[in-house]
Amino acid sequence: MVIERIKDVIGQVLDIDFKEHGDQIDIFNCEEWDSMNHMRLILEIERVFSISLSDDEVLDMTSFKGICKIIKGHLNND
Amino acid sequence: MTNSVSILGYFIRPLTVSDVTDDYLKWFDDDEVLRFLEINKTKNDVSSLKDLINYVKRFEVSNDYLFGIFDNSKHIGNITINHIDNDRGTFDMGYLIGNKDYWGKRAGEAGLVFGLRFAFEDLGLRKIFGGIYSKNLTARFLSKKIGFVEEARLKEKGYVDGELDDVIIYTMTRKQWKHLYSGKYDFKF
Repeated sequence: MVIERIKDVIGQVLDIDFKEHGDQIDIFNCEEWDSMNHMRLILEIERVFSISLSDDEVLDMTSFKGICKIIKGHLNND
Repeated sequence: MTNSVSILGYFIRPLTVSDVTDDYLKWFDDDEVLRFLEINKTKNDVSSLKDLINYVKRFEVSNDYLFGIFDNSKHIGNITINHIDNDRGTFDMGYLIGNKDYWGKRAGEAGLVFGLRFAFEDLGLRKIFGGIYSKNLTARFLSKKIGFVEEARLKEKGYVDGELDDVIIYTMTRKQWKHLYSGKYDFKF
C-alpha cells in the first residue's frame, strides 16, 4: 500500500507514467527529476505520509528505492 | 576564450559590458535570487549599472571567467570560473539563474556542465572544489545529480538568512568528468 502511494506521488509530481520508468527510476535516469521537482516531491511526501524529513534525508532520496527505504523507516518508528 | 556554445537548448558565451541591462541589474535587488550568494553579503556593491559594468569589466583583466546563459537572446543567468590555480590545476565555479522564470528548467545544469567542460577540457584543469551552503538544498541536489562528490563540511563558514551555516565542499576531477560525461551532453559549438 505504502509502495503504491509512493509510486503515485512520484508519477504525479514528476508528471510521468511511473510504469514506463519502473522501480529503477532515479535522479540520473529521469530527466523530469530536477532540483525544483525534487523539492516539490519532498513537500508532497511529507504531506501525504505526515512525516518530516531531515536535510540529509532530502538529499538521500535520489531513487525510488531510496525513497521507499526512508519513508518505511519513518513509518516504522511512529 | 570560447565563442557561443549551445547546450540543453541554452546558449552560453562570455559576458561583456554590452550585456549589462536594467533587467540584469534587477537580479541584484531580489533577495530570493541572492539568498545563497556571497554578493548578498555586500549587496550595495552592485546597486547601479555602473557598478555592474565594473563587475563585468573585472573579468576582462583577471584570471577568472564570466559567462552568460541565454535563452535565444534573453540573458537569464551567469556562470563563473574562479580561484583558478594553474600550478595545482584546481578551480571553483559559481552559477546564478537571475531570471526566476527559468528556475527548474535545467538552466543551472546547462551552466554547470558547460563550465566543467570548459575548465577541464579547454583550460586543462584537474579538479574543482566548489562550496555550497548547507541550507541550499536545490543546489546540493543539482550537484549530486551532476555527479559531484561531497568531500568536506566547513562548519559555520558563513551566514544564510542571518544565521551561521556550514559550507559543503563538492568536488569533481577531470577523470570523473570524462567517465561521467563522455558523450552524455550534446554541445554545439
